[in-house]
Amino acid sequence: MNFPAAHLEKLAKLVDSVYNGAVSSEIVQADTKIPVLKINSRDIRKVVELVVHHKDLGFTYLNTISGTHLAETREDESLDLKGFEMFYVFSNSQDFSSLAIKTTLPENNPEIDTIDDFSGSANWFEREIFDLLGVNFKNSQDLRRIMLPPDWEGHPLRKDFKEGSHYNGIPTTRSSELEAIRIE
Amino acid sequence: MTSATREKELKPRVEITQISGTEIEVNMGPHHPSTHGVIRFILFIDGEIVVRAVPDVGYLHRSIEKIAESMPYSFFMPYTDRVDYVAAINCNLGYALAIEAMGGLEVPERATWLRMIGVELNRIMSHLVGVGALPLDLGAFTPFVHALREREHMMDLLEILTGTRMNNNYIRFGGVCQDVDDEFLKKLEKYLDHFVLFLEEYDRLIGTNKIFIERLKNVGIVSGEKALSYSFSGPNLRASGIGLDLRKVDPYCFYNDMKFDVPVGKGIKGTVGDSFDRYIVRIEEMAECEKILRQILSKIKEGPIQSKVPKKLVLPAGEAYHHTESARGELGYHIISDGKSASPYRIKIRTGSFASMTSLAEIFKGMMVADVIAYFASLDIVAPEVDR
Amino acid sequence: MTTYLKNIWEASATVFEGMAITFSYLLQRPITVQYPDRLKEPVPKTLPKNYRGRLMVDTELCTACALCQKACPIDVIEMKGARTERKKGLTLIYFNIYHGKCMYCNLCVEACPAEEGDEEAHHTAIYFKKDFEGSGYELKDLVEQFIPREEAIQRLKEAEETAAKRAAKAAAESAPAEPKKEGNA
Repeated sequence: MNFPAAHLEKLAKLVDSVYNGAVSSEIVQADTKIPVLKINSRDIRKVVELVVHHKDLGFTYLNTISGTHLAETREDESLDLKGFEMFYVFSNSQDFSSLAIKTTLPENNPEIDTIDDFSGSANWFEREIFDLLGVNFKNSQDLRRIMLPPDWEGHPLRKDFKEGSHYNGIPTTRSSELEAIRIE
Repeated sequence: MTSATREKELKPRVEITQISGTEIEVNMGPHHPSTHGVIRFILFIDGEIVVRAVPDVGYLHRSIEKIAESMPYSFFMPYTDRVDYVAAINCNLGYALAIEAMGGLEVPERATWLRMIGVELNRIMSHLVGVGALPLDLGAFTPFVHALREREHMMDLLEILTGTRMNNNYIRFGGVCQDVDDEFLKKLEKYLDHFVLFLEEYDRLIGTNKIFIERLKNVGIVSGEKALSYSFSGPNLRASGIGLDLRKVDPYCFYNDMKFDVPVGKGIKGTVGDSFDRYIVRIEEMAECEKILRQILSKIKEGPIQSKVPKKLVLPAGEAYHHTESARGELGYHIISDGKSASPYRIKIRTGSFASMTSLAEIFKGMMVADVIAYFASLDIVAPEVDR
Repeated sequence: MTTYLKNIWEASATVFEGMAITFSYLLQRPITVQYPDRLKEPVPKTLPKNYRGRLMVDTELCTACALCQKACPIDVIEMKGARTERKKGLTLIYFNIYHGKCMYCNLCVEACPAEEGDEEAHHTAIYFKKDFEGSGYELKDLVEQFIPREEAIQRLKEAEETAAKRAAKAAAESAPAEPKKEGNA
């Protein structure tokens, strides 16, 4: 649902007023009309607290947390960096209008504060990102691999991930039956 | 698995006071008839009470988000079927809509109607599996057979519509893959007449059964507040009394013009948000789907089914988060394009089952082992959708 | 005590209500069929027009354009076309499909440009047959070679000869003149 413009301005003002300009934020419109709040990664807990708990906002519903590894320079100027991009989508529990919070992390040793005390589902979303992208969530209740086995090496969704030929003695690839009958 | 990693894996999230001190570790799954795929729980039980539970997922992880990064956008469509094989067209639609929104592609009117027929049929089929497998897990085999019989009839209809019974891969960017004739629409209408009767009969078969009700009422109560906190969506959220349906609040396709109600849990047998509510919401939702399908049949018109889409689709740089209402709740696609290559830079799929799974560790606590099954079955989780 | 008895009564009464429905099915014609022994007609005949059964290739119709191979997301199709003296255009050298991997997504069929037949019996060069009973004992049984192996080897040899001939011809033509038109072979 389209985010009401009044909310949008209110939010920008709120972030500014509550933290006296200590939290930098910038509002951009994503392609499908979800407003995106770009913030510094160290302010994530402050902004999420405001978005979730402020009586005028009440974005208590966490839709998802998504992460991306940015390995190459992309055309879009605003995304021109190396590192990790975190994308949090929150929804209002009343009218289900959505809002995204975006922040970037450095490529070496990506770390961000956990938000798992704001939502019951945040822990699993964070675990998935920890598992597949290797982003470390500070002070998380329970940060372990979720999709992959505990002794797996590497984080597959990183762009530079190389799959090993074997995992615990099991080959990770299988030749196609088509290769056996090739005549060239 | 080394003992150290195992120690860490089993590390309790929250300390709980033990009841008698004799705690037994029970491993349930990954191959268990009631886990609907391969999902494993490590239950620490004291007598019959679960003291602590550690859900373990990932056995069906195929990393299709990584696969997506290595192929053109259109190649990924068959893979979305495998996100949720019980409601495959729903997953197709979410992906197609996200790409169309990003690329600004047009969809002809008839194609949208056909998509909606596919999606709603698929939703009924998925709920039939949900309400059929629920009594099965509780020990009643007959309802499952009845539900699957109806699903079989619907598969015959999907066969005409899409050419396949499961994993349909029906939707293409800017349209659908094939058209149907009026004969199919007549067949569908005739079937809907039969389906209304079946739904009544099915609810009489199991929904009034005292034993079934006793097994489900007041079991696994998820309050509305908690359901929001666990990011529940779809029927599970609505069963907790929160009438959020993305078809209503964020309409896509022609859902704006459709008249249908959003059934919510009212706690008719026990408390709002108990397992029985999750069952009854699905039954009521199937009746709503039937209403929507009849409206589609009265409105569908002849016309083209595919708009012109460039063969090598390159989306403009940027990102989008697009969500639709799948049979298991909010299905969101977060897609990032770098604007240069013909394959996505990143696709993240948010699924309803994964969000529902987040509640398990907490809700299982203090439950009887038999109720664990009842609660889990009432969530209607599909394992591939959790793991992707 | 009354609640206790009432509970027992309710439990059995509601169970019997469900059983009544189950019983009614005893008097109806069963929905299941004895497959494959007692069928009124073969199943493929009852299937709709565009049913996706096993992937098939009409090797006569195929123009060896390799569009289906490119359209396949999981490399199920392995094929090659080359020029020989058999016919104008490209000759199909080999065409192998690995049914064990195919996911019946219809993308190759949609990509195929070679069509044949009228409205009723319309099909493309690569198409889905209505036959679905294709199980095998080993994985290699699921590979289908539409051009038999010996024939494929023979055709490959011919193609190589043709290519060599054309290259020689092109070289002979371009040698006296200026080498601006490099061979298209």
